[in-house]
Amino acid sequence: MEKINDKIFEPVSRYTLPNSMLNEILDKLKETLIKNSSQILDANKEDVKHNKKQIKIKELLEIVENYRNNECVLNDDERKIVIYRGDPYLTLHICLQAITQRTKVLLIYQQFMLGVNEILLKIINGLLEEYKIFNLIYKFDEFSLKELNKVKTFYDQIIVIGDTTIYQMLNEENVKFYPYNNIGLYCDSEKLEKLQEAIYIYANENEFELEVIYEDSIDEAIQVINSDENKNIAILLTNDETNKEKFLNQIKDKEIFVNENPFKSEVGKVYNYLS
Amino acid sequence: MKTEKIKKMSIIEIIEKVGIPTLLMYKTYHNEEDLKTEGMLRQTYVYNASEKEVSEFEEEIKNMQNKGTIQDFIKILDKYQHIIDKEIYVFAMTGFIARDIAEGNKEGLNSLVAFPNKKRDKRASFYFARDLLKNVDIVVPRFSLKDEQYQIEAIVNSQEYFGNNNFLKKRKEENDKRFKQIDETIGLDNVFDPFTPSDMLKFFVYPNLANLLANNVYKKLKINKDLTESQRKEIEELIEKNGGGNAFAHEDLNETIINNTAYIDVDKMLLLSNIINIRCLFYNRNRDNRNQDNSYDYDNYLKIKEFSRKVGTLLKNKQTIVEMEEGLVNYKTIEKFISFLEKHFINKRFYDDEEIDNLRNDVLNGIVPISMFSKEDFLKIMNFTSEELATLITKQPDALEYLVENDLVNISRMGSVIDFKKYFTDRQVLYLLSKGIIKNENVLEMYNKEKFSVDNIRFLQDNFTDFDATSMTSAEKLVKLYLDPSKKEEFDKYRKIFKALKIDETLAEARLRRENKDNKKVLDELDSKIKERQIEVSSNILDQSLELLEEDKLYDLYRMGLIHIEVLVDFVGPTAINDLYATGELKPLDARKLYNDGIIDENAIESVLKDGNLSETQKLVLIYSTFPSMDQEDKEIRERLISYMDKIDDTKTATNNGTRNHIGGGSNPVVTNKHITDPCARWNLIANIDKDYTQEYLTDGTIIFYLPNEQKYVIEKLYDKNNKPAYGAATYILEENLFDKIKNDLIVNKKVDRSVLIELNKQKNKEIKKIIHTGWANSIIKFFDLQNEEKYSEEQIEEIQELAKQVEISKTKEEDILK
Repeated sequence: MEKINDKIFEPVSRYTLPNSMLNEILDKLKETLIKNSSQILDANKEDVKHNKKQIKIKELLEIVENYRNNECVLNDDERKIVIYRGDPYLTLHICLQAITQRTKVLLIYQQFMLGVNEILLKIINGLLEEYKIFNLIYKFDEFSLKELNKVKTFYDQIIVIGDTTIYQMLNEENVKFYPYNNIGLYCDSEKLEKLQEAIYIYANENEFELEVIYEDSIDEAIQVINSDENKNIAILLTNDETNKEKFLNQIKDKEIFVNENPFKSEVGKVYNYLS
Repeated sequence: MKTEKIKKMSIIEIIEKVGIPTLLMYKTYHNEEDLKTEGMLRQTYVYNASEKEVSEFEEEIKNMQNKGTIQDFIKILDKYQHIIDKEIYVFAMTGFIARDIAEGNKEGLNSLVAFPNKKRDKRASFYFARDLLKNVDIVVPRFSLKDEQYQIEAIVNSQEYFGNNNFLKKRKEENDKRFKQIDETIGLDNVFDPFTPSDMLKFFVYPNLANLLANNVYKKLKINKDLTESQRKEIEELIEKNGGGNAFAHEDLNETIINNTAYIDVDKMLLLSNIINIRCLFYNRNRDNRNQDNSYDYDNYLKIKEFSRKVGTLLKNKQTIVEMEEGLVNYKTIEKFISFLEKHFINKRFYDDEEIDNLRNDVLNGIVPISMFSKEDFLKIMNFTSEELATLITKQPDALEYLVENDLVNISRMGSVIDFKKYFTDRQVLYLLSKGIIKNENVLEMYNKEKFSVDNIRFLQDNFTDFDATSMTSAEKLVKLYLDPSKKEEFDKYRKIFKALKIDETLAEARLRRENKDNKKVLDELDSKIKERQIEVSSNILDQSLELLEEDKLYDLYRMGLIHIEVLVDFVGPTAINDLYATGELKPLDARKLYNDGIIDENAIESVLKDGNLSETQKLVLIYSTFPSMDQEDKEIRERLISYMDKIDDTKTATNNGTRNHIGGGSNPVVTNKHITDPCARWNLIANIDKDYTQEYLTDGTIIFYLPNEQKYVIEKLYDKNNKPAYGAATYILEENLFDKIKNDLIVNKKVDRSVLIELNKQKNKEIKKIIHTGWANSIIKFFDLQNEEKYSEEQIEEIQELAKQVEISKTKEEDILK
C-alpha cells in the first residue's frame, strides 16, 4: 500500500482552461501516447500475465479525441475519490474529466492492469506539470477501508465505478455509484451455453461484473435484472422469439443485447463521473 | 435632564409664549449689557449648527433689523429653527422677561421682549417658562469680553433660577463621590485616556457647554505660552502625521472634566470610555496579515474585558444609552461584544465564525486533537450533538476520557441516543465501566437494546475484573425463554450472549491458543478445559427441564451450539450421530472431532456414502465438509472416499458436460467450462471465514453457509439444475437477523426462492449484500475483512490467501486439463 503522500491533501493549482489550451493539451497527450506506445504495450504484456485485458493505442487516442472542444466548467477546490477496478480506458476518461472540470481526484483501483495504468498516469501528470497544473491526480494502488478512512474527510465525495462489492461496503451518504459494464446475462438454451461462457470469460478478463442468472423462467430473469439498479447492460441468449420480445419490451433502463456481442466497443459506456 | 415638552414645541409656539428678544429686531444697543445679551443669544445656536447656516441666519436677521415686523422675524426663526436650541432660547427669554418684570414691565423698545400677541401678559409667560424649566438642567456659560475675545465668565444653570437651588450642589457632591470611587476602582486617568475634548459632548449633560469647554481645551494648547517653538512645531507635525485635526493637552482635558463634575452624566462617561476602548481594540486588529497571531490581540482583550467588568460595577443604570456613530449603545452592547470575543478566543487566538466552524469540523474528524483545548475553550466550539460527540470519540481515542474527566458529556444521555457498539471501541466501553458510568446491571439491558454487541461484552469479560459476566446469564432463564414460543426473539438474543459468555472460547483462551500454537500440551489442556466447561453447561441446561430431553429439542439445542456433541451422543447414542452426519446437520468441526476421536471412522462414512438417499453432490459436500483442508492428510482421505464413490456408482462416470469437478480428485473430469471456479475451492474459502460454520445443501445446487461468529448467512450457488458447476451466480450475504425473519419464505421445498432475495435487494435492505463473481475471492476477502491483522493471525491470513489463490488456480487447472 502506497504511503499516504501529503500532496493528496493539497488543493489543485488554480488554472484556467480556454478551449485553445485544452485542445493543445489533448494534442500533446495524443502525441505522447503515440510516442510511448511501445512502452504501453510492453506494460500491457506484463499485465496480461495476471489479467487478460488487451489495450489498444487506437482506443486511447479516440478517448482523448472525445474531449476536444469540450466546454470546461472549472470547479473551485472540488475533490473526489474514485474507486474502480482499474480499467485503463476508464483511468484515461477520469483524468481527462478531472482536467476539464479542475476537480482533484484520488484514484483507487484494484490490482488490475497496474503497468498500463502506471504509465498512463505518468504521462498525464508529466504533461500537466508542463502546464503548471499540480496536485490534480493521485492514486492508491489498492482499496483498504482503513486507509480510505484516513483520507476521505479531505474529499467531498466518493465515486465508485463498476465495483458493487466496494459500493455496498461503503454504505455512506456521500458515495455515488456508476455502472461500468455491469451485466446481467440470461441464457435459456443449452445450445447457446458456449456463447454464454465466452461472454462470461471476456467479462472476467476485463474485470466487468457479470451475473449469470439461473432463474427458471424469462419472467424471473427479467425481474432479477430490473431489480438491480447497479446493472447497466442486460444480455439475453435465446432462440425463443417470445422470450426475445418479452426481454426487449420489459427490461428497463439498461442497454439490451439479444444474441449479440455487447463488447463491440472496447470501452464501455462512460458517464460524467465528476459532476 | 431634558424636557421633552420644549422639544416637541415648534419655535412659533415657543415664541407665542415667551416672545422674541427685541435686540434681535432692533440693533440699537451698544453697551456691555447688550453684549452680554448678545453673548447669551449666541448660546442659543445648537452646538453642531453649521457655520454657513449660522451666517445665513445672521445675515437675514441683519437685513431685517429695524425694518421688519415681528412676524417677519418669526418667519426667519421658523426657517432656521433647526439651528436654534429651543431650551436655551426659552431659558434666555425667561431671563429677559424676568428683567423686564423686575424693571417695571418695560414696553416697546425699552423692553427686552416682544410678543406676537401684544396683549400677552409677561407674568403669565414667565410662569409658563418657569414651569417648563423647573425640571430642566440647562447650562449656559456667561461670557465676558476680554482682550477682544469672548471668555466664559461663569456658568449659569437654569436650576439655580427656576428649580432647586441645591440641585447642582447635590449633583456635584454625588458625582464627586462617584469620581472618587472610579478612581479607586479603575483609575480616572484610564477612563479619561481614550477621550478627545469633543467626546465631552456625549457625556456632558449640556452639549453646548461641552462644546465650549472642548474649544477652550483646544485653544489652551495653542495659546499656551509655556510651549517652546520647537515643542509647538513637534505638536503640529504630530497632528499632521495623524491626519490633521486639533491638538490638545490631555491634562487640560482631564482638568476640565474634573472641574465640571456637576455637569457630567457619569454613567455616560464610563460607558463612552469603555466603548472607545473596545473600538480601538476592534480597529487595531491585524486585518491584512491573518496569521497565527492575527486579529484581536489577546492581552489587550483581557485588559478590556477586565475594564468592562469594572465599569459594569460602577454604573448606576445599565440602561444608560450613548449615541455613537454606529448607533445607540448601552452596557448590554458592551457585554455582547465581550461575550462575542470570549467565544472566539480559543487557545489565546482569535477565530472568526468561519474559522470556528472549520476548527469544529477538524475536531470532529480527529484532525485536531481534543486535548489541546482547555475545558472552557472546548465548550466554546462544542455545541456538539450526542451523535457528533460519539463520532468525535470514535475518531479520537483519547477524547472520551477528556470529555468524561472534564464533565463535558452526559454519557447516560448519550447512551440513550447513540449506539455504543457502533461508536465506541471496547476500550472505551471498558473505561466507562471502570468509571462507573456504565454499570454491570446496565450491560445486559444495553445489549437487549442493541446498544452493545456480543463482542463488546466479551471484551469486558476479558479486560475488566470487576465485570461479573457469570451472573449476567443463567441456564434457567435460557431454558425458560426457549420453551416459551412467544419469546422467540428474546430467546435468540439471550442465547447469543449466553453462548458467548458461557460456552465459546473466551478471548483469553483464544490468546493462549495463538501464543502456544506449537505447544501441543498446552493446546490439549486448553481444549480439555473448554470441553469440560461446555459439557458442564450442557448438563446444566438439560437439567432445567425434562422437556429438553425430547430428541428434536436435543438436536435443536445442538444446532444452536448450546449443548456439546458428547452430551448429545450420551443422550441419543452413536447411531443417531450417523443420521445427523448423513443429513449434514453434524457440524463439520464436530464431525472431524468425532472422526479424530474414533466415534466416526471411514467405514461409517463409507456406509453413509453408500446410502442411496444422498445425491452425488451431497456426498461430495459431506466429504469436503469433514475433510476440508488442503493438507496432505485430508487430501488423501478425500481421494480415498471419492474413489470409493466411483466404485459404488458405475453409472455416474464423468461425461462431456462434467459432473464431478474437484481439486486433487482421482477421476478425470473432462470439462468444457473454462474460467469457472471450482465450487469446492469456493466452499473452502467460505468455510475458513468462520471455523464454526455449518452448511445446508439444497436440491437446487445452492449451499447455505451459516457463519455464527460473523452472524451472517452466505447463499452460494455451487451447482446448476443439471448438477454442473454453476458459475457467475451472485453470492448473497445476509445478516443473521434478516435470515431468521425470512427463512420460511426463502427456502421452500429445499430450494431457494430467489425472488425473496431479489425483492430485498430491490428495497435496498442494508442487511443483504450481493457479491458478483468477478474477482470473487478478492471480493469475499475484502467484504469479510479477512486480511485484518487484528482479527486473524498471520497464519490464518496466509491460509486465506492460499485458498483465494486456489479459487483462481481452479480456473487455470481446468484449462490445463483441457490441454
